[in-house]
Amino acid sequence: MITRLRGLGQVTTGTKIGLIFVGFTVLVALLAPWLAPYDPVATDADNALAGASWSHWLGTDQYGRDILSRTIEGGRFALLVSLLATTTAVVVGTLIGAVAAYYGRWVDGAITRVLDAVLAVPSVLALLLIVSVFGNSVPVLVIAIAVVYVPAVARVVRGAARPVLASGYVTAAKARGERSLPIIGREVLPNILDTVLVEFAMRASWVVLLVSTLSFLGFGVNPPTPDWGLMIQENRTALTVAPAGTIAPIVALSLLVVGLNLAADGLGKHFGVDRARRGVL
Amino acid sequence: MLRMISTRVATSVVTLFLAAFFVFFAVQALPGDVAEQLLGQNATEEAVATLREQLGLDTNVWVRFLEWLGNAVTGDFGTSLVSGASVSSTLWTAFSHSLLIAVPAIVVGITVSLLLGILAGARRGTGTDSGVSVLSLIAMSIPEFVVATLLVLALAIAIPVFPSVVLEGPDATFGDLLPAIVLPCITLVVAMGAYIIRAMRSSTIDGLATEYATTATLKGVPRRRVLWRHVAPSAVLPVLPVVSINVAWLLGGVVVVESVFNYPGLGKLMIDSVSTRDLPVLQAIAVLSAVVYVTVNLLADLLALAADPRQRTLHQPRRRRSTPTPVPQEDLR
Amino acid sequence: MSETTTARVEGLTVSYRAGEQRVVVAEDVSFQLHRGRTLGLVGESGSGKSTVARTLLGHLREGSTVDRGTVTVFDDDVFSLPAERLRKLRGGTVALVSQNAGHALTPSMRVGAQIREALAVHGLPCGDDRIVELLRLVRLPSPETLGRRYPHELSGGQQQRVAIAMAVATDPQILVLDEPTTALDVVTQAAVLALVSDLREQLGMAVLIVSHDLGVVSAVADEVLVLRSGREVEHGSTQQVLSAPREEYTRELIAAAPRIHGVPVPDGRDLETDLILRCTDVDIRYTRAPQLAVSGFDLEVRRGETVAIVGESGSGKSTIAAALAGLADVERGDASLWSADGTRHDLLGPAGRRPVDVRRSVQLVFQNADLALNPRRTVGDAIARPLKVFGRAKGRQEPRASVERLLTEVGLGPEFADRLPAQLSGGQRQRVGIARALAAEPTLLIADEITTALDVSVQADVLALLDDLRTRRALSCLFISHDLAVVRSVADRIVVMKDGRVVESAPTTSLFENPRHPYTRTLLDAVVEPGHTELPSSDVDARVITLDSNAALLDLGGGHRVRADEGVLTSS
Repeated sequence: MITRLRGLGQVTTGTKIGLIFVGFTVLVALLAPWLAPYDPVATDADNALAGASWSHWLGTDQYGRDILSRTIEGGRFALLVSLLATTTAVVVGTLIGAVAAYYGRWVDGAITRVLDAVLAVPSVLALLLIVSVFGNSVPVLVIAIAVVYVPAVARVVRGAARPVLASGYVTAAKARGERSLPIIGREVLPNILDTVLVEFAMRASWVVLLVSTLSFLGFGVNPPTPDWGLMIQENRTALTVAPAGTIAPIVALSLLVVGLNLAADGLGKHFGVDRARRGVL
Repeated sequence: MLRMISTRVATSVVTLFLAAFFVFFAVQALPGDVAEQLLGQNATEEAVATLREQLGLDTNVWVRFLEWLGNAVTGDFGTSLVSGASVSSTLWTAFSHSLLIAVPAIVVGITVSLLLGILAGARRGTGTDSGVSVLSLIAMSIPEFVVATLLVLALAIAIPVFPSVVLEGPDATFGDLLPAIVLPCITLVVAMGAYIIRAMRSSTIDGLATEYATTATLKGVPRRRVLWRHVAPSAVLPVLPVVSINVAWLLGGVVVVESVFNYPGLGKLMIDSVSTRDLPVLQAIAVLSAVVYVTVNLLADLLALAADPRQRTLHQPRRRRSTPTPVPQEDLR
Repeated sequence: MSETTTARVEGLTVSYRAGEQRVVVAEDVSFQLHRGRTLGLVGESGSGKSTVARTLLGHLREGSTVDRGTVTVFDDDVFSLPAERLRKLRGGTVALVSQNAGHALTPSMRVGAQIREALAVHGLPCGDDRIVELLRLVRLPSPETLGRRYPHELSGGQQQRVAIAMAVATDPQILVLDEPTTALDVVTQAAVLALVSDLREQLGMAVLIVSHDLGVVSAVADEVLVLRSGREVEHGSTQQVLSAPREEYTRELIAAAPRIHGVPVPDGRDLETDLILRCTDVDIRYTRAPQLAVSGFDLEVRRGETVAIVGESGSGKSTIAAALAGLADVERGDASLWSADGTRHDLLGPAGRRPVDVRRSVQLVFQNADLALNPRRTVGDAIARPLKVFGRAKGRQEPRASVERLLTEVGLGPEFADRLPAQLSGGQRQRVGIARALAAEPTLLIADEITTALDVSVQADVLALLDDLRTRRALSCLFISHDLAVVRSVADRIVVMKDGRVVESAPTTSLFENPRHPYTRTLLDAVVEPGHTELPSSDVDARVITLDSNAALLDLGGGHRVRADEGVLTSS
């Protein structure tokens, strides 16, 4: 643990760029209320679909709202939901995965079946289903996204935990008669922490995409709250007239997700966890 | 072998049953009354009562589940709450439209991605590799709706070659839809390709580093032949699950793509049904997606079984290793 | 270059980059290969022997470079050959057989196709008859049909024979064997070595054999080159190097090699101490496995006694270790453990349900020291854990003191307590594993192949430590190994197992001087060791010794018991 994390200073350029992208986006989102030149929801009918100017650097959308302000504020919702949902999904998924791997046999079989069943419903569909029934408040979204991603995390963790469980130090602990929870906590978790960290970074990138997709489809954030996905949806009809309204949120969103992906790749390479190999799962 | 296949099929059925169970209870066993929730707080008592009856909410939830499941197995998903039409006929029309964009996307997507992945892996560290890797990283980082929007900007607005949206409704014929499937297809290929490329690249690199690839090289086999004859067949195997998951998840992407292009498929039906809270339709779509997911996974497993000579004969559980992993392995650097 | 010289390595220096500095793998290595002669390259891990051997095929690991020196095969400088000529050289002029044929054969291709390919890429005739001829040459059974199998359908020995067939298919002038037998059982190893000797004579190749095992090299090589940390230590005829080594390092290597010929068996001790372990008629089966992993296993261990269980892979010896530690389900039979005060405990339940005292009394040391310690915990932490779990040390100071005492006892030092496993060598890790087991103050120590992954010199040290502990602590030890020569120096009594059954059980002296079971004799014949160059015939591994499932164990007196199978010697 100590040795492997100590080396984090010497990461690749890609990882650094990734971390800078993510850090920048998060910082902007945090400071948004002070950074945004206009109120992002204030409409100005006289000034709709204006091009770039000194007063509106990126122009305005069809209701005359300042695009730059909306882009600056547009990451807050997605980031908040993503952070909460990813954390929940990774923590719960790690526990379930570790337990499944530890007990094996029928416990593992049963857990795997249930996880597979949840995975069988595509995430966008599952989310839409839940949102259409429970509404789109932040807690519902967080829980729904966590539910959708727990199976994938659990599967990955289970895969990572199995070789650890076959190792001599776990066998020794079992032979000492130690209980399952201390073994999982002391011997297994510290050794899959690298996988879990990488998992967190990559999962976060998908969650951000999913949240934006949801907003784009009109089931995420409620208008007129600024959000990148929603902005793209709203402004894409005016793509030719005021392209900045679509392009700005696309750039912002891509910056964040490319950053997360680069960071996840870098972490994975650093820890020797091959994440590309697994594809989406 | 036969036993393995039947076990695999049986687990698929169990998974499917569980998925149906989750879908049904996520929708029906809510706290409170589904009918009231659906109609909102301003609904009249009568309307609520009618809907309750229509949904059969007065009977026990388990009985309803079994009844629904029994009907679903025979292809009967009840009637739509909105249109009153049979869910299954709407569903099949939409599904066939979705297949029209999904199947070409899958065929092209898998072939191109696997080849690109092998290429990038074999030329690791070269310009080709960096190019492919960067492109796939970007493709994986932008959501389908952005890809779709950018494609519309480029190929429908800037250079108007393809229609940007479909104007026909659900009754459109294949002929009507044909020109409209190109952009959705490309979007789906981009969305699914990135993961497959990355997985295949990584697997090819590992494959080229194996002892058997080295042995083949050192017995004088030309590099190209080492790649295609020795490395590729085994390297594809670990990528198969990635492919199958991407194919299954394509349905999720279909929702977005169809919504952007106003394409009258399953995804569009889903969005519309969510807006109108048409639960029977939603349940049916979710179950259909689960069927697709499970089937595709099953196929991938069987394919791996057929393609991997090791899996074909290793049907008994492996014996626990008892002895030598011997010897100081020399670091060969 | 003289008439018979086929290859010449001169002043070869190879290094690779690790971070900022260059690590030298081989430095100023020189030797020549001659037609019909075998050179053995011997060294411990990190000696650079494989790297040197593979330069003959113009092969270097990624990132490695040749800094100085040349490798010449006939008249060609290997590292300046154009790509196509190099390809022709590889497999055509110089052929390689590498360590583990299970990994070296392509899993997705039939073995016949792989041999055919070796011929085809060098433009040689590759008809079916040629393939069959080659399979017959390496003495594989039913050569007509074997080519249609996939690698995983063959045994380890058969895979290695296929790899050899593939290598000699093109009639190469030079055959490079890189640890060709290390992944094999002893009997198969002896057979493969015999095959290599036969082929060299038949085909007149120059052979370079790389091994960590002096025994292997001395069995087949005419000349030996000893390497250490990439440098030549000694080079001479096998006879001279083994019988009159000039260098201290060579002497140490020879002395550390376990052997069974020409050295007296250590005096067996007559132990009249009390019994601490008795197993009767134990059957073990893995979940849902059709066959028993172990059947009808009997064993008695006395206080202070070391009993060795010897067998090849799949003989069930490690399964017994797992069962006694409560990690495998016992289907039938009895196993009892007596603690110091004479109370009897049942030893069959799973570890979690055993009383603390029983769990403490039986401790395991593992085969693979790399995996035996949690990489995220310090050495001190690992050793302190059993102290805490079994309540052997309380508070803060006490465990620390105990840990330091234990570390000193296993020959490390208190300063090791704060290190992480990654900072230790294989031998040191194994010592920590032993210290961790001792921390529980066990009555019975189960050592499962603990020296298998270690270099010979380190192995000798660990064995000495174990012997020392046994006398000092009156510790009983169950020593599990595949290597009869190792066992001979540590065990009071030996149990030989095959296919999950005990075939012979005797005090060490009787077993080595008077082996009764045909299987035991085969095992003993197959042992290769420095200076003992007689090999059994090259198909010894094909001779099947089947066990009669109804045979009983005969008691021959003096604690010598043997299974009454066909071919057993009942009178001496």
